[in-house]
Amino acid sequence: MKTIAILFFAFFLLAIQTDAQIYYTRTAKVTFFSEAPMENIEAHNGTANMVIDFSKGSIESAVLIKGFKFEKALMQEHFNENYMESHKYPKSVFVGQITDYNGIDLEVNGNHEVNVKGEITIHGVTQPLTTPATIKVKDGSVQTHCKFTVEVADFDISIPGVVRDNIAKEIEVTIDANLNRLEQ
Amino acid sequence: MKKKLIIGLVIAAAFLIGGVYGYMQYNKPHLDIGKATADYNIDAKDLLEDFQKDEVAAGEKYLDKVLLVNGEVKKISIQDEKTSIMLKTGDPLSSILCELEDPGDLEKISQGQQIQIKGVCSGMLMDVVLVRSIVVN
Repeated sequence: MKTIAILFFAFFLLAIQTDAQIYYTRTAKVTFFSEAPMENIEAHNGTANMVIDFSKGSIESAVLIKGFKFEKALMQEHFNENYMESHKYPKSVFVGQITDYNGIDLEVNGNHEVNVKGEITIHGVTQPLTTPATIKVKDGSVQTHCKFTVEVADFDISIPGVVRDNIAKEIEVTIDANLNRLEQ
Repeated sequence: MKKKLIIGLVIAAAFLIGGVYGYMQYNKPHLDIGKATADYNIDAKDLLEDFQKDEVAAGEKYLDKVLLVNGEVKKISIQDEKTSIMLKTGDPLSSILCELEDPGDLEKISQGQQIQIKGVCSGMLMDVVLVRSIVVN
């Protein structure tokens, strides 16, 4: 009976431990950058979600396309209406996993260079994505940074010939997030 | 001769007008949220409920629209130069997340305060998101 009680207690502790491993934010920053001969285009979004479960090393992130802000209103309009069709595909989502994950000690401050492998959905098209990322643990909170490129053509986004020189074929995406522990 | 001159002038004028129009379109300013009239005046709780009930229908109704939302400040979040406010909705997991246009607005508010905020709805993830938000009251 005593053994069962101890086992139960151990499982209970383990369960708490597992729960406490979830970190999240609703205000991650997503920036993309297109470098083209005619002009460079940059857009920012500060309202992306990111959830990391450090017990498994899984990562999920989502962003609203209409939340991207451009320098020029016209670019924003074209981006939403013509290229991303954000009324039809309002969100972009990434679901992935830290590769060769052996756990990260969240009690100890430090930088961890990892690789994340998963799938990204943009404009209703899902493609595999692997990117290096930095996970920084600092005083109980977690900062992540990653940068990767996506090919416009991979996501069924057609750019008319007239503006082809204005928009890069490869778009650089940067994600920065400050995550806090999910309080149960 | 005169006819040719007139045709030439008309073509030149057309190009000029087209050019100016194109240039103005290219440089047209973003919507001025401060001056824009709100399409909907709604309580934070009701806005979230609309999205939870039917996200597609709510999207058609609210996306890209200027909303004037009434609610209580649940949390203020500052990350680098990005500042946002979360409004209480009665649902502990979801709020109205408003990304502020001007971080200076923070001086006007504090946690727990009842405010009115105007912004453009960009959809819903965990929260209903407003961008380019301005604190009105």
